[in-house]
Amino acid sequence: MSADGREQERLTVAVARARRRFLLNQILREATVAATIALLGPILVLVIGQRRSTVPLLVLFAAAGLGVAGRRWWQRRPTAYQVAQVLDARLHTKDQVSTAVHFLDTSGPAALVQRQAALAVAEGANVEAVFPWSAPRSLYALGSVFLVASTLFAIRYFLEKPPRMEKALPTLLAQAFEDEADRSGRRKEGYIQEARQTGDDVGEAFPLTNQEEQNPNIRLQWPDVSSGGTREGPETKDSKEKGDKDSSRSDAEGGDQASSDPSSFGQDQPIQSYEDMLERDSKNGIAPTQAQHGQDNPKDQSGSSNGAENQNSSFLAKLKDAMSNMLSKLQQKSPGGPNQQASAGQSSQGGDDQQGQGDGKGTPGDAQAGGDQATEGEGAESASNQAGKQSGGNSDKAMKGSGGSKSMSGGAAGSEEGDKKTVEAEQLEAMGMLTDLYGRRAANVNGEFTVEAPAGKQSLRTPQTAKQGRHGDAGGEVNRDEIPLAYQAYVKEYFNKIRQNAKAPQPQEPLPPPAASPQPQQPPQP
Amino acid sequence: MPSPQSLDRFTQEIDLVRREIGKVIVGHQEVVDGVLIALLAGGHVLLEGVPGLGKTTLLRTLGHALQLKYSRIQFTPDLMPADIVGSMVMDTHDGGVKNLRFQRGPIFAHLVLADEINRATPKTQSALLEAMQERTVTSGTVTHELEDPFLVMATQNPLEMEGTYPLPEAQLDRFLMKILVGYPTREELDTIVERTMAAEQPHLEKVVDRDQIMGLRRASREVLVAPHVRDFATHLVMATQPEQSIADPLAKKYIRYGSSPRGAQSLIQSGRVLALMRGRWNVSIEDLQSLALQCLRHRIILNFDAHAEGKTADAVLSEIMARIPVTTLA
Repeated sequence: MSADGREQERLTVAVARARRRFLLNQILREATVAATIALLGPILVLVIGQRRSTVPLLVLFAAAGLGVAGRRWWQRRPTAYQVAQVLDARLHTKDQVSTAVHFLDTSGPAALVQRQAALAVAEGANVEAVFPWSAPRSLYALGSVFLVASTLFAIRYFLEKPPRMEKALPTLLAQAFEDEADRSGRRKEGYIQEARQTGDDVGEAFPLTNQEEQNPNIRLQWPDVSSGGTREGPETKDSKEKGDKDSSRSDAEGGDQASSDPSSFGQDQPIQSYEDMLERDSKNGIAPTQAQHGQDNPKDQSGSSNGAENQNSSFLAKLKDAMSNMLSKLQQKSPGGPNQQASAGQSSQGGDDQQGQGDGKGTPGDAQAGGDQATEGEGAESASNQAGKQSGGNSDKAMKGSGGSKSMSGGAAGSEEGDKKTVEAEQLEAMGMLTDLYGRRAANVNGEFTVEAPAGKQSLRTPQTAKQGRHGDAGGEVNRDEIPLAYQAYVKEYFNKIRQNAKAPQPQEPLPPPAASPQPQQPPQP
Repeated sequence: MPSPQSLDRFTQEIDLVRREIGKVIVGHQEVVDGVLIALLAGGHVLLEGVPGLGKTTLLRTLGHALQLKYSRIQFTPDLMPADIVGSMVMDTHDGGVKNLRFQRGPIFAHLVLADEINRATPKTQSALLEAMQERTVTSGTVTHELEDPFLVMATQNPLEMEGTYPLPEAQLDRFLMKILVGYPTREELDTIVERTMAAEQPHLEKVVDRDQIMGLRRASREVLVAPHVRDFATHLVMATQPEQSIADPLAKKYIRYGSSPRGAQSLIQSGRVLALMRGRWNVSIEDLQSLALQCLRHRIILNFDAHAEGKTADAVLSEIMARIPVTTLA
């Protein structure tokens, strides 16, 4: 073999060594692609469940992954010349190796000399440093797919332990949600029935309409209606009569927990909504499902079927209960706002009853205070009697006793009838509702309105906005052809001057304050 | 015949010329290399710079060092084509015999300095076209060939543009390179002043003769150009043409007319000489990248948007070049 032939062979071997390393890197990259595609099979099985075609499906995805990766590898398989280019680019060898590889079969004098120089470079190259093992970008895709598969498996494991892979995942999820909806519905019905049985005052104060009787959820969907201020009037009306009755009934129906705890249902505060019931349960440390079974079905409290349901209650149900508890607490604790206005409106509708029957504690202006006092009224007859005396003697005193309420005038029946304060309070409450209504309408209504203003000299002041204009805003466009050759230099110089002027620092003048700027006076509008 | 020894010899010869020019010209190595590349590649060079930067001195020094015939033409508005190429004169011999003889103009030289070429009329400028491209001069019905090597080095003054005739694009395209001559640095200026104060002027030696230059030219044609390097040149040229599908977005935005195919030719020719000067028998992409601005800046015409936004041909070309892949591997 001639010297030239030996040089050719050495150069080929050196480049082939680099190419092998490059191909291994590429195989690693394509293997991650294949694994990504193959993982789609288990994901599909996790979603649709185990069928007869599970194994062929898995095999199909694995084969598809291998096929795609193999095809990609084959198509992207670099030639020795391309590997030499990469080698040159990474070693900064001025394209000597790639040129030598391309002109490997050329026997010209320049090619021979060039090949010798390239051989020295290629043999001295550290292939491991030039083509290091690197994590391919497809590894991120593989990680993402693996994460999806793990998540799906975790969901399945959460829904059925151990995962039997018989049903499709959407079916399992739908069943879980349906079960949860059934449980929630049963809880609500139980609460409502319990409320009707235990708190007949609630039923008297808020007789259910036909529609509500058919669907109790309608009433439960309006937490504003259940504010304390609207109900405490009627509630307190019967507090004398039913204080003992409620406590004894709650003892009978609520079991040991309700009777032993003085703050339990029937003694602490009236049941006004589903949220109230949930809150009461949470205060008593009873889970909603437990409360339901303990009060609705006392016999089944230690039963086996409902106990199993409680164990299987999902995290979603707990989260939902916690959210409703939190919302109901917030609604009750908020001292003002729309709830208050709504309750005020309702209390004004039943104004006669309040005046005649209220004991000075049902303050429509303050729901929280009213609620607290209604509780007192329910808890002890003596407290309500005392309050009645106070309100009969002095209405202002009653207002102070009701937590600083402004609008409600206390007093016994007939003693303060026709009091102006009550009428004003009702009007104020009505105005509050109207304001709320106008506010809601104004959010969506557009139109014109006329403002009556007294005649005289008026001026409309509008804040002035500082805005700068630019030369390019005019939208002028000039093409190069429109400028004669001899004038192009002048045009170029012109723009240079413009740019220089733009770059030069200009003294900054303080802008006049917006209010101080002179504004045109507008004639007074009729 | 290319060989490792011949490569060393070529490199030494070029270094000798550089060193000899360096006795007179301080700094401006890029300008000196550009002129040498144009000479060895068989092209012409356009130098643009303010007066007093040594453009004329460079060519005169080159003529001395290379033992080549040197002529200088000062272009003025009243210069006529015959003043460049020559004219027919009547000779009267003994005995009253008269005949017409072609009196050669200053274009018949190896190195021609066309000083302030933009001050002559287009008619006179076009007299250079045939000489630069065809390397022939036609007078009447007779065509005279110009002797190799033939290098036209034109200078342009970017100042005092009033009363000038900027070179048309067709003529600009005939220059292999357009080299911008900048101001010297502080150290270079100190050296220039020091040499000016010296009592004796530097003595220039003739280091390379015409035959050696022609040998260098032949050797440069042997330099190998790999396909991917060639692809880089063509890709770069086509990327400057806004109507092409592979045109760079910047070219579509700022370039009105892209480079002609002569741009790719000049890139490859210049790259070969540069590779030889750098001691290699193959052209690399780095060679083309270092020559791209000089070879292409006068071949693209920017549109009005580029002028309005202060974009220069160099800036646009640099951005385009940075986006061109250097390997064919996807």
